Amino acid sequence: MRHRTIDKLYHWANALVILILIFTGFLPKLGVDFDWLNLHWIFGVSLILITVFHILTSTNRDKLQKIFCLKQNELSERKYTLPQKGIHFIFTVLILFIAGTGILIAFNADVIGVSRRSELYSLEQWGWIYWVHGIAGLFIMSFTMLHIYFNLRPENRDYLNSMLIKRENKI
Amino acid sequence: MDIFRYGRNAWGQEILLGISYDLISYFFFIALAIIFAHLIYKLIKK
Repeated sequence: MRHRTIDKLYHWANALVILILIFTGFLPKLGVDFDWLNLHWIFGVSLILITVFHILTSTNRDKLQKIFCLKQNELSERKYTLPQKGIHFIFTVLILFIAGTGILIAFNADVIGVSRRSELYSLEQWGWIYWVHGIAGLFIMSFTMLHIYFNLRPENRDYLNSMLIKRENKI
Repeated sequence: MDIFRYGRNAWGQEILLGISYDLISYFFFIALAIIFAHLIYKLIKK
């Protein structure tokens, strides 16, 4: 089996949440008017929760040693191609940036359960926090488009099937 | 191409607000261009 069921569920939950965050984050800036803030922070919290869940269910001492090259993978474990490892690394970094700045922004927005603490940072610092949040979101949007395209390509159909819940894994 | 969006504070000073909204369409169309370039490359390579 290429992917565990728990990892497939994580992947599709993450995909849904990321798409909703892209739409609720950027559509209002393009003139589409709707009550986006509540949806955005609710799915932002969801993204943080499923990311923590993913970290807890997919890391252990053995895996961490392999990630940091302290231990080499067995040949049978080398199931991911370089582009797949690359896109995972890119999304990891981008999600950490967007989640980190998103948590800070919650203290400067009308988020239920979080009291506004705008005095934590100067206006200039808030500007940079919003800039990093926005630029990470734009990179996530672009890389999501590329990720979807390359995984819909016929030569990558087996990789897509291996991520579907009920399909039999061929690779 | 602006990558920053500025506003004014209560004292009229210019302050950074976040990304320029122009970047949204740039990032969207650059990704789209890469997709079309790859599609054309694959069609030519066939």
